[in-house]
Amino acid sequence: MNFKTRCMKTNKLYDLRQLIDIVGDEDGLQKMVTIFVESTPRIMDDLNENLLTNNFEMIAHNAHKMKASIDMMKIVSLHDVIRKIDKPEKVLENKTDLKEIVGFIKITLDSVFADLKKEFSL
Amino acid sequence: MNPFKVFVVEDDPFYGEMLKYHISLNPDYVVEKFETGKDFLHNLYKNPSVISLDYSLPDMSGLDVLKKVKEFNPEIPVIIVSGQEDVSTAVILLKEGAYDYFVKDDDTKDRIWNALKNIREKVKLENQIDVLKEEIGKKYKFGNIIKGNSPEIKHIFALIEKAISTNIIVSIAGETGTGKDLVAKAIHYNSPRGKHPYIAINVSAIPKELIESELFGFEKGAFTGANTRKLGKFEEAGKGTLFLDEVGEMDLNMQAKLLRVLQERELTRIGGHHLVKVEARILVATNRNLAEEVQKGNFRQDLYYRLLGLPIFLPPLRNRGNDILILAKYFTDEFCEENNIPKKTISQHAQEKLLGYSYPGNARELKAMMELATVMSNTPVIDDTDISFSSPNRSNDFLLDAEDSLVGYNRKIIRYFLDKYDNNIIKVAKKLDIGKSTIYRMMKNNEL
Repeated sequence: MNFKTRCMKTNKLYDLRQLIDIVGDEDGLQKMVTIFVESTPRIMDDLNENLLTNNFEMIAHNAHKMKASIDMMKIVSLHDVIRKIDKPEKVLENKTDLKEIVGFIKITLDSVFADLKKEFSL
Repeated sequence: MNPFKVFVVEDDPFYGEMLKYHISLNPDYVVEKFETGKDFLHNLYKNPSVISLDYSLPDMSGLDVLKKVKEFNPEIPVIIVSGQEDVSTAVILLKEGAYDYFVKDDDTKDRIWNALKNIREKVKLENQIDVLKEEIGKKYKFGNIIKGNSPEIKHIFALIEKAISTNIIVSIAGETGTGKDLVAKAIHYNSPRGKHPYIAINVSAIPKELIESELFGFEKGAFTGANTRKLGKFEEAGKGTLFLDEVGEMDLNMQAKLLRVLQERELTRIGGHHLVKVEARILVATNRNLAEEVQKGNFRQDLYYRLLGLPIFLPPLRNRGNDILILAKYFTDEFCEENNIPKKTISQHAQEKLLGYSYPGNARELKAMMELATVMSNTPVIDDTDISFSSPNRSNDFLLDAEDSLVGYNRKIIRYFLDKYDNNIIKVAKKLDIGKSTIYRMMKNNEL
């Protein structure tokens, strides 16, 4: 897929058009996607660990950190979900659904990572 | 010009890289990225032009980092970028001196882009202002504005040096046209306050009903027509200098208010309730003899002593001997340069004519005279015929101030010649064709 065709809407879980608009060229896009694919799984792992220890404050911190990247990659299916746990008080509110929420985020992101790795030969 | 350094402090590598990438699209920006508060603070010595700061860092809160930046250099603009739409946090950060607060969303990059553009414009303008201030400072180096080699002028230079090195109130006295305002500017621009505002106000030019609001300012609604708050000259001057010209013209009621402000170093705007600190240095000037005005009851004695500070008396031009020729040459050269005219010299006859005049308008009058003489002269030399005084008998004005006795006229004539020839008694005696002993005797009897 070349740079121009990436600008067209696809049926993937992410939409790179905003990112393309910012970085402006293929090299920049490749670099940004690489950073996303490398750094976000680490935060996701932290999130899972904090879920196991019920560290609500850190769960909120991890979610808060991922929120901006998720928005930038236009992963619309996570837009509202990530906002359910991006503050400690919200985490407490959704305490009973935490496992499901975090599980959904992980499944979605894993799928995004896989697609991105394929698309960008990472 | 120094590079415009943008520091991005963001622990999310993806978002941080995105900001760095976006900001770097402007080739004039040099961007550095930091992922922790500590790492950033360690590099703060590089003095960035602007900082984009993520509010929630792993090791420090954005508020703590902001405070450290403001401690280091309060002038560095800090843009807070946060994932939280939390109004109370934003208010706290803005109160602490943040330049702006942006929530991370689709428009953040554009907001940052615009903010950087605005900050850069502001920095450019501030730099231009600094350059202009420096140029003004150079213009008002006192060697550049007060010309002359006479002992009187050398004494003035020494006094100005003393005024520059302290914050003492300076009272400048002298006849009209002697350059009181130039001395005030020289003191301001050569002192550490030179980078702050210089505000001059001519007390005699402002109706007495308005002088209070001009000096102290007013609050909105203080009186009919006060539609907005207005700062007074004291506040406008900030940490700079307030020059009160013709202070002797101030009415007694206003004098009392001025005295209070000078004593308390604080004021209240008209219609206001809050005290405002006064940090400006005060310079005053008058062409009246304030001591005499105190005797007559026209000027408050307590204010007189408060304002006296370091008195600088500017001698009239007629008492400055050869300075007249130095100034005449300077004004001629300046006029030729401004009008792209080849420089002209001043003939011996013209010099003698210039030295024989009394200059009631002092340097201001000499300047106007020399400009006219330069225009009238058809050769590279200004001759005596090119020089015209505003009144043909002006050189004898001092005799016509009031009717006098013959003895009185004699006294005035001898005094005039003594002033003119730097108290050289032998020369004066020769010029007037009288005996030296006559002059010595008159001096001994305090007749001169």
